Amino acid sequence: MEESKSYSALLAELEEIVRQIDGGELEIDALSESIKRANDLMEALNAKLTKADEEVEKLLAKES
Amino acid sequence: MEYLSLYDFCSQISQRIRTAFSGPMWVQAEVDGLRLTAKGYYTLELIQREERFGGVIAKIDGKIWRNAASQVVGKFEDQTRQEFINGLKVLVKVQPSYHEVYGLSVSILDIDPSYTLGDMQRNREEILRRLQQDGILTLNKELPCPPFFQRIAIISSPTAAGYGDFMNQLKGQNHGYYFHTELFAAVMQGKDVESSVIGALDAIYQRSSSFDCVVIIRGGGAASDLYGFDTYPLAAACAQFPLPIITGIGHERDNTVLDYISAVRVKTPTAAAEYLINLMDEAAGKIRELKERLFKSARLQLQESRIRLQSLKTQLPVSAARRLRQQKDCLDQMGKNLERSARQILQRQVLRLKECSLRMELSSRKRLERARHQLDMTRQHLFDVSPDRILEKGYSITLLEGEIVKDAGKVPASSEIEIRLKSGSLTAVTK
Repeated sequence: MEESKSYSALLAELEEIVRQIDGGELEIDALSESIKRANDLMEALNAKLTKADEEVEKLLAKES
Repeated sequence: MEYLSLYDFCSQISQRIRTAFSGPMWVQAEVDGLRLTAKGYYTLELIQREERFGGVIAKIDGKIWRNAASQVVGKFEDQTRQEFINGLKVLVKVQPSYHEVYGLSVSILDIDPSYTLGDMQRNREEILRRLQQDGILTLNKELPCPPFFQRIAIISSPTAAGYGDFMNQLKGQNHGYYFHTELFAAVMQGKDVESSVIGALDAIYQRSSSFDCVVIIRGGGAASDLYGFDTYPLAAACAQFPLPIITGIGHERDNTVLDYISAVRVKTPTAAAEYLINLMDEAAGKIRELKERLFKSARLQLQESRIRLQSLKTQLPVSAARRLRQQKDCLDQMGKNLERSARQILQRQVLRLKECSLRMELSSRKRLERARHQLDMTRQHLFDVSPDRILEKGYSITLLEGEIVKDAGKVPASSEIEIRLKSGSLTAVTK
């Protein structure tokens, strides 16, 4: 599912979770679920970054 | 009848002219019928035209002798950068002479280059003024210029050294830029320049969508013959041409009207080619720069994203722990609050009880007081209505057989009654 969403959408969701936790808006019952979601998001974001990084470097190597 | 032989007659004319024109004179004229003879001297006609319609109103044969030719003509061409040709306006130093066989002519001893230069300049200025007046002077300069020109229509003479220079420069570049060139041959010197170049422009105009610009080049000769480029029809055709025109017509010092009106003016054909290559260079440079900026931005953005993600990763457990701690603190605080609240409630109840008891005591006291007061009042009343109190006031009580007499009619006559007073009593008999 994360694959289909854009990097910025995923990042916004992650930031929202952190903001909610920081702002004390999140139910304690939902905390562990949210942290699990945040971990998933970070993993997906990391994967996207690594992929983009590799592609840019590949393009650079091709162009130069 | 006296007469002279023709020779004597002509000799006299010759003599008189020599006397009348003892020294050379400066004369302003136009060159016409110029010819360089096999013997190395020039023959020409000096003419003057009527200003409005151009008809010849004065004419005289002239010669530039071989011994003076190279010096006079050479200096002129060197300083004006203009070939000595028909149509030029010149200021010439002449010595008139009359030859018995060849008739009247002038020997040209000197030509003032600055006069011709001035005249050419005046001519150019006049053309520019007219172009300005007609509102077309800057049209070609105002055409939108693409970042580079790749499809180039060339107007030049195929045999001109300038054309060769231009093509060599364009092909010799080692950047690998592709240029499509097409030559539209034209006469680049003399009186046919105008019609020939306009013809070439017309041919290009028919296919103007196939080209990005027009390059007009010539040059490479010793003395430039640029006079033909300074005409109003040619200048007007160039000024209104729908494609940008690049001129590389003369050498370093040469200027023509076309140079003023063309979108781009460079000195030489080689410079024209360099200009086109430079534009390509600039465009290629911009693309390179954009590419570099693109990759730099992409890398930067990726880096920033990594940093942000890393910061969120670090922040998340801290935030979660803090959130839990906050909640725990909150609970603790609530516990403490609860205890304090309970204590406060109890204290409040004790106080209320105390207050109630106090109020009760006060109320009881008041009640007793009131009762006591009421009792006192009753007692006083009783006291006030007691028989003793009545007797004290001077009243008396009459008794009949121990009963109080309230009605005199009920006491029979001659009854013994007792009359009680405050002090003592009286016994009496009724009548």
